[in-house]
Amino acid sequence: MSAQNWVADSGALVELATLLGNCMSADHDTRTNAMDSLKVFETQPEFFNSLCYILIEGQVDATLSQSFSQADLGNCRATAGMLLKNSLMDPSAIATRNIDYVKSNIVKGLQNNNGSNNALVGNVTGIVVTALFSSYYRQHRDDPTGWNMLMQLLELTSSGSLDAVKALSKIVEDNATFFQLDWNTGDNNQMVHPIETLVNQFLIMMDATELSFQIRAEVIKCINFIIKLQSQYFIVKIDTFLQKLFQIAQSESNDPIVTQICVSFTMLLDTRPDKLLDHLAGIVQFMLHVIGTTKNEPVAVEACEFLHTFVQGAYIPKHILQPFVGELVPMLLTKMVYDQDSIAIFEANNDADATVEDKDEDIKPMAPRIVKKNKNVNENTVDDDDEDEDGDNDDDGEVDAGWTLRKCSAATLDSMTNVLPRDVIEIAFPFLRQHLTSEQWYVREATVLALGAMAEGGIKYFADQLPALIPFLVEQLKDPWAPVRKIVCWTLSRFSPWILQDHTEFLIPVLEPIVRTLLDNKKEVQEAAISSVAVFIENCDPELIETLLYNDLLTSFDKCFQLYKKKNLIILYDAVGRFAEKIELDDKGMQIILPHLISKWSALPDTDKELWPLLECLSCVASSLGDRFAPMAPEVYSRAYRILAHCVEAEAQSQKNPSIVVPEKDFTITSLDLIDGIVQALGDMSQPLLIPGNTDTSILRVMLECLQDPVHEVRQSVFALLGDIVTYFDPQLLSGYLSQFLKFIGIEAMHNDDIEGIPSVINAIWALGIISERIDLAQYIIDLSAILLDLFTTTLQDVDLSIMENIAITIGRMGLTHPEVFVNGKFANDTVWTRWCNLVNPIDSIEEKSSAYLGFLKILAMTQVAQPSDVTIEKMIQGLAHNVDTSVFQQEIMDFLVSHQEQISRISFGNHEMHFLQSFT
Amino acid sequence: MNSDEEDFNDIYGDTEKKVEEPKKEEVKNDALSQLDQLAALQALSSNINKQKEESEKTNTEIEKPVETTSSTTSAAPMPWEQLQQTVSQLQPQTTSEPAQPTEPAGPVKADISKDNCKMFIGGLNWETDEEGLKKYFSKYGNVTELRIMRDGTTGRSRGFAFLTFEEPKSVDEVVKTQHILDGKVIDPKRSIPREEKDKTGKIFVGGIGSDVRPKEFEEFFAKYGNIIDAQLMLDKDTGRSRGYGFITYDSPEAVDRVASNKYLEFKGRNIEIKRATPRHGGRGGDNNDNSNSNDHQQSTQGGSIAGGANPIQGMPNPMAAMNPMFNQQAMGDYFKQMHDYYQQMQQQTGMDYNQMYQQQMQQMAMMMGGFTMPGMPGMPNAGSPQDQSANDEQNQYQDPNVQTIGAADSHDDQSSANTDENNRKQDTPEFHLPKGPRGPSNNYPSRDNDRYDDRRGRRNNGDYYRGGHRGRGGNRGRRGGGRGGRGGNRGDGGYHPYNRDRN
Repeated sequence: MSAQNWVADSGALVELATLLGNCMSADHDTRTNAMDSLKVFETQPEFFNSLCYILIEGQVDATLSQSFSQADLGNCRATAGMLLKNSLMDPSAIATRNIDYVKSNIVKGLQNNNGSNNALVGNVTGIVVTALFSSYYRQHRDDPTGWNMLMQLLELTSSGSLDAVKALSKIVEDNATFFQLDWNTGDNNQMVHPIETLVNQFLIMMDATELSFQIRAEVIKCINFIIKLQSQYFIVKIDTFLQKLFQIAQSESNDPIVTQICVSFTMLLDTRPDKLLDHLAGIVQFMLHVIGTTKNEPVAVEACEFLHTFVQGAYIPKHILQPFVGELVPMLLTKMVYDQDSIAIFEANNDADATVEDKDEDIKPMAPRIVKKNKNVNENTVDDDDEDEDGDNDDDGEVDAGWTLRKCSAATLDSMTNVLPRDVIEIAFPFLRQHLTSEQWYVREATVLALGAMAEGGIKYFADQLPALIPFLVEQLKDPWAPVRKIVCWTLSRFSPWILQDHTEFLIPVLEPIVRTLLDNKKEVQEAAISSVAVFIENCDPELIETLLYNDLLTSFDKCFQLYKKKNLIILYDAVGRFAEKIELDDKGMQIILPHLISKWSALPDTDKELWPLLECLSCVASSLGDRFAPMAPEVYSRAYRILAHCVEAEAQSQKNPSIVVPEKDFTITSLDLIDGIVQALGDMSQPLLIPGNTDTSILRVMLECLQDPVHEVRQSVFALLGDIVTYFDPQLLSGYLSQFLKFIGIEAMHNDDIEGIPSVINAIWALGIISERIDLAQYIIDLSAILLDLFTTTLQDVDLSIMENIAITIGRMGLTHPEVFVNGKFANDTVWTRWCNLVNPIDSIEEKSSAYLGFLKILAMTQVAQPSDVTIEKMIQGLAHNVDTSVFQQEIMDFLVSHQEQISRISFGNHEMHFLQSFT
Repeated sequence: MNSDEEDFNDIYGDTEKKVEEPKKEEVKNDALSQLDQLAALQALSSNINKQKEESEKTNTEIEKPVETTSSTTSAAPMPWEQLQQTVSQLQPQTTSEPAQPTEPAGPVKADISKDNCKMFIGGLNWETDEEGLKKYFSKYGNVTELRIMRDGTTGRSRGFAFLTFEEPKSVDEVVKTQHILDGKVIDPKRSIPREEKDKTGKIFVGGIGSDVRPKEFEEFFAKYGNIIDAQLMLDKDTGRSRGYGFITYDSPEAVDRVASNKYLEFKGRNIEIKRATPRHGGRGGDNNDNSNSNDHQQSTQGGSIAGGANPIQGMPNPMAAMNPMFNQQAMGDYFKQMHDYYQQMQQQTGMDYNQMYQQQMQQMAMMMGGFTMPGMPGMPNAGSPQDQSANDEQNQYQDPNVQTIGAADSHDDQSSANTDENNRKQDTPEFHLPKGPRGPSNNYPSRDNDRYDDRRGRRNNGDYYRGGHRGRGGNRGRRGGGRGGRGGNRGDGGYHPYNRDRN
């Protein structure tokens, strides 16, 4: 009996199905027992087959349909499907199990999806099929059943199966890239690129009127996932696609199709704006029409997304946007008013709630991005049709949650004001002036929102109005409607750069009322007020805070700590952290702030997520207090280390035993940051804490563990800590680990293509510079310098500017002790030197710039194979003349000037450079 | 006012110990090799100098700024000073002799003249030694006394020093410009003795036109009193006024005089005058008006705490609830360490750190609430922390009135009689322990500040307050070198009406 033709044992099936049913039981004990018993089944080789059988044949299996009610059986089948999907996502399971039966039968679950099949089962089957592609077929493209399954899905789609096309769109979403590679058709092992067939079929089906509009919408969705790839197979068809799109746009008004059309246009605008240029007027009209007429908000949001992409201007010249401003602005302003439902909810909930405790589930995860990453691996939920992953669907219950038309309109207005401030303001202001004093609170609210949205791009164009506008807005902080007070706080914070830059006469009159609003009786207003205060603190000169605001802010924070509930406390921590970062806390500040932090800190268990913002805040406060943090340091450190070590330990355990729950990465990150804060606070005094007796180097081992973490933020924090440890501690302590740390720095620098990972690459290279200044890199210098130079001179990719700056500095720092590695090869080149100067010259930090230049001069002095051009020399003099402490390397500069005096004398310098040169004569 | 100054006064004022007499600098003979180069450079520079009006003057001083030619520097110190003086004479007269206002020299006026030869130098490179420091500052005048603070065990510099010039005008010169020594921006500060400092007054000035120059700014405010420090905030890029600044007068009367107007007319604009809030030691807003009474209370400091006049009385003390958190054994060990540390300091510097130590302990006692510290002589309240914390709790609930920002001063008033005494205690040992290489805390482009900037960049990357639609990394590229900050992800909780985490 081959595996494909496996036949289930009906007794075992019923037993398994019963267990599956019990797993969903409401009774806790039943559930636990069933799950335990399931573990026995899991070890059986036929486990996957049984699950698959229950899922796809459950309805027609005689034994099963007799043993269970229709409803129970449906649920049981869905459970079997989800369990199968989860099991398939484990790569080791696929490697060790025979899944032939699943592969050849799963599609049946989509085939017989007619009246007898419920939608849930169809959907779950689609998810299982998707899982097969994501965890198996994309790696096993030589297995012809993959290609065959794709063809089956296409065929099912064209014959009208919604489940099949939904499965297809999920598969394409996850695996489109892989369809550009060779897949085995099974026909004499002939290889094809499935993308070609897919594109052709999708194009045919997208306007095949015999298909239902839902199917056609899904088909267009599939194409939308492919557009991003910019694959040749699609580009050659782009005109056909456009033609069909325009046709459909004119004839179709079904929401799902219109939504997908909007997405298509947005995608095309992102990837091939040239193709749309001639049609922009029509498309914009279409979007405005959709926004103005649809009753379905998600559709309007997609249409607005197009406008948002359009006005961001990255691809579109201003003059093309200009003619549309007159039509866009009024529409956007109108749509920035809360929708009727929200208004009703706000009106029902305007009562004071400051004393109501927050529920734990109201606390959003602190790091959505990080949490999401983990979620992708074991996503358990039945995926809905919403392809917008960003929608904060989890925080329902909150009125203003999720990505709405209002928000998208505001974002669009914001971007548009940045591009064409005058035009936008000219149209918007008469409109706004008229509505600022509206009877309706939600109109006032939207007007204030618009002012805030336009602030960044346009404030200098309506500055003349502000002396009247600002007092008016401040007055609105007393508005009886909480949403108005809330938005006023925000809008005023949007004016903060302008106020703090040139118009400090407004500072106190604006900030004082906001600070008063910190204690609003409505929690959402408190939230907006503390966020606003944080923005002011962030944008403020330290001097201004110290002399004018220090005491008042401290007093207010003190009260906020007493008044705020969980949710706003989290933002308060952040504001206090910024405050402490900005200025050095004095004793009074310490006495006010620390008790609150410490009492929270001791009240929270190690596993509480509220610790994250608290740890970050403590980290800033510690750095700010400096050695005055010393009394707290031992306890704080030991707990931070305990949390960190626990995370690392759990991570290691979970490699062996997947059932162990790993704490969120935020625990690792924030505890690392807190330790770094302590090191920054205490400097070398923290050495006995981190490395007890100068012998216990467990912290370094833990750091090395963390450097293997795939989450960028973890490594980012480790590299930051590493740099500080090297700065302050006895370099000798590191010696045993140096080679490993350097290895990870090298790895980090080589894996620089992920935008999200840029900060950790920056920190790694920064830390390397610090290390090479203090510790002899000896035999490692060759490899590391080669890695840096590869990146520094590459023409194959656009390296992030901050990475480049850090490489430049680090090359300089390495040159301090080992100039010889840079005197030949890639660095010995005038163009590279010019680039180096361009990167280093704007740097503010005197320390970094000086040591970089000293190393650079040493390198140049030893270089024989090339000579700096006049351009380079001019740039060098410019660089040396600004923000460099020349006193430590006068000799080197002299040598340089002398050996290039001929060149120097024929360059004409500015006054500052002349002055600089004179100081050497 | 930076606390460092106060530290300085506390420590420096107490000590009688002088640094060893300045050594005669040996004339080294290493300048020879450079003569050729100098000649070559001179040829080059004379070329350049033709474009410069003052070339002759500079040329006479060729070797001066070159540190490596130290032999010549020390051999002929005078011309450099002369040059500086000439140059400063050429420039319009600035701060050194502030315009004399006609005002009665009252007893409450800060007399900075008698002490203003002393300076606190912060932000030093650890490598900087006495010789280097002295050499650097000798440019400004004869240094009579100088000490770099060092770690007791390792002998390593703690990054700050005390320095006294022979002439007050040297100090005036020093504070005029930014200083870089051994690769670090250092932070020399004028010393104003504690008792004198309390008599000074600072104001904030807003709404200044962007065309106002620092000199005009200072001149304008010199009408109202003797200016100790005038600081007009300038835009780093354009060098223009950023619209506000600060003035420190030597007397609260001057502040009263100027602040009696909420607005003043200056260069066609109404500028705003506001008293700065004194920051340190909880001296309330009343201090400016009441400076006589505050300065002579040191003698009473011993008994104040036992009397229940706890400076944190008005504050809740949630520490009371957290005893179990703090491992007593560990804390005990730590206190011992601290004690030893202070002892070392004392031996090394000959200063009395007892007070400082006690004060640290006291602070901890307040935080730990309930834990008796070992080895704390003269700690009257260590025995009854429970009562104290009970009080605090009570206070917390008795005072539910949430104060507004404007009411802060009155709050201080209520307890000022008590808190002043305590804060005096608090102030006394405010000496910051080793700073390590943290940069100066003000807005020089120091390494620390850079780092903070970087973190800010990182935050913005996290799309905190700005719309997520703008895209991550909108700030990238403006960052200077330096690291990208820690990985922590703070602040997604901030309110933004249309933020989304799109990227």
